Amino acid sequence: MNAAFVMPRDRDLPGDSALASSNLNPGNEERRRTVLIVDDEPLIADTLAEILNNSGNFVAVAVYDGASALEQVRNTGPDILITDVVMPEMNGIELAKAIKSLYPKTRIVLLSGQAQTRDFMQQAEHEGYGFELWAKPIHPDIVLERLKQDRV
Amino acid sequence: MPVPLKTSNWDLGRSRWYVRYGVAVSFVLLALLLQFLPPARQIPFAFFFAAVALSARICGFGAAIFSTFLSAAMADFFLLPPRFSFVVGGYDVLRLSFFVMVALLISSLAKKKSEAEKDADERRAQFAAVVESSEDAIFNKTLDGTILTWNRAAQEMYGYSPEEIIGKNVALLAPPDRPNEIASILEGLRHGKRTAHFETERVTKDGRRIYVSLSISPVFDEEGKISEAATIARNITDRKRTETALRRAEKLATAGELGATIAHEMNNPLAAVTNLVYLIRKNKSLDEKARKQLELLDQELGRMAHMTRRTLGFYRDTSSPVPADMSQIMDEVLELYAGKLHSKAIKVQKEYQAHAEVAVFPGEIRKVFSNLIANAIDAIRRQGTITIRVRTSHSWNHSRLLGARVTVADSGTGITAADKRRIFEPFYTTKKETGTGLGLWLSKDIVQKHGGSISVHSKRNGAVFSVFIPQKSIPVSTEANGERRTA
Repeated sequence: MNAAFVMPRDRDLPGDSALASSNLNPGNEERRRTVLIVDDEPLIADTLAEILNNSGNFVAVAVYDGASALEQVRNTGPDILITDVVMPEMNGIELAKAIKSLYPKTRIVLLSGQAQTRDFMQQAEHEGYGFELWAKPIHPDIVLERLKQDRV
Repeated sequence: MPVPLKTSNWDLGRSRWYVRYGVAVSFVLLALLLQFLPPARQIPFAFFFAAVALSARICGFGAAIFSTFLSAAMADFFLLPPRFSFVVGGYDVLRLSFFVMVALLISSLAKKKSEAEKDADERRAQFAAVVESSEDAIFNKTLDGTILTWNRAAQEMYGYSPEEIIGKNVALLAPPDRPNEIASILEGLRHGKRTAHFETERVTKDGRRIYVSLSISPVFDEEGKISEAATIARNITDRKRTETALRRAEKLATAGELGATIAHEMNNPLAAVTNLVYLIRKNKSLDEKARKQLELLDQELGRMAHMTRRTLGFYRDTSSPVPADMSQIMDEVLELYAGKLHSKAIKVQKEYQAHAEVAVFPGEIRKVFSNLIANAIDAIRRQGTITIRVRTSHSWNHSRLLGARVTVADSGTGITAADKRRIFEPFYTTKKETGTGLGLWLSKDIVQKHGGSISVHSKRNGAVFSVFIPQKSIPVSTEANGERRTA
């Protein structure tokens, strides 16, 4: 899991994904967007990374805690951060704030299966952060579609 | 019932002074007359003692002193030698002094006794006033249960007037399903046993059941024997109902919390499985049949995700109002009652207008709709229609107020005029066994908190509940919680 973002992960080229064929990112052909995925459940992080990598539009890396995530972004920031909210030690909102302060251009998506996350979100909004919150579980098709669009 | 003051008939203690002294003088004169009778000659003061004692008892202490000295003077003048003269010889001085001393003693004893009686009267009157003004029912009964006294609160609590119930047996107040309770209380009383804060049920004159807390103590007579029993009964019906409702609410909250916990716990594995299924479906080596089955698996996972989200939505609400489509919330509620509607063969007719969107606490509004639907279902015995209308509307009270109106009409039994008046009151229920009487009261509270109103109309063929929620300009929620679609 010490792979850097520059490391290409295109062993699986875009397959039969309808999304991949209707490429809505013209001019982005040569540069696939980088995604950092953080979830304390490795299975969720790994499968989501694989799905994004398979789509052919993203280079995704999965880590399982906030500290590893910060280690990962020491040199370059990802285009997109997708993080779980409720995690031991550093929670997703703290991580999101830290990454936002380092890389203001990074798009931040919080994934949560907990209803109380909404309150954290409102707190973060009051502090001026514009994070997106997606309810978990979320279907991969929806993830791909939303990432394809700009921020909602 | 006022307790009569027990004053002796032979007491002039409260009469005018000249009446008391006049009576005392007549006692002395009568004694003097009797003293002239031949047999009394031997005991010169016998009747005078009687006169003093009577004066003390009847006319009071002052009159008794007066009659003592009057008697002494009469005896000296008329009876003691030399007659018709106040002069007394040596031995007679002693006899007179002895008479005066004993008479004074009698007077003071009589005074003490009458003072004690007066105190007792006063205390009894105070006690009677306390009993009368008590909020608790207080009544006395014999050891076989015959009611002897009955205060105002008892009349209010049980509905019987004192005239109706005094002389009847307390068993009259016990509900038929508690036949041995009073007998065992009475049996305990015979052995001097007190009953303290015994919570039980009683039946009023008009057949209502009330919860009471009873304290029953034996009353001892002068010889120390148990003669009767005093009962203090407090009406604790409201407290009992509150307790029951709280227990129920607590149970529901626990169930909700449990559901939310399970939903939380399920979301993570569900997310992983959803991703895994997606990856497998993309595997080219799958044959057509496996691909079809995976598609079904994907759909079922979607249902599970929907369920957990619904559970969470019900349990945890947003901390500020968010714009929500009333038709959508209503549909979510109807989904919950789908089983019940189906089993009672109830048809749901929806007349939804698009974009009936107002800013609400969705979880709270769900509770209101859920109450209305549950009531509508309960009102229909079997086979019927619930008509639900959702539309943008003006308030009936303030025509300039815009908002959404939701009406739920059932083809049930309707609501009587008496029920209609009280239907939004707490603890008022027509569902004796299952209702808490809190549903509509809470609903009204929620609707009013949203600045809206709730009302009910009853027709021959069912009841119509109408909820109005005004629109508010609240910024749109940032939550991007899209419904998932199957790929």
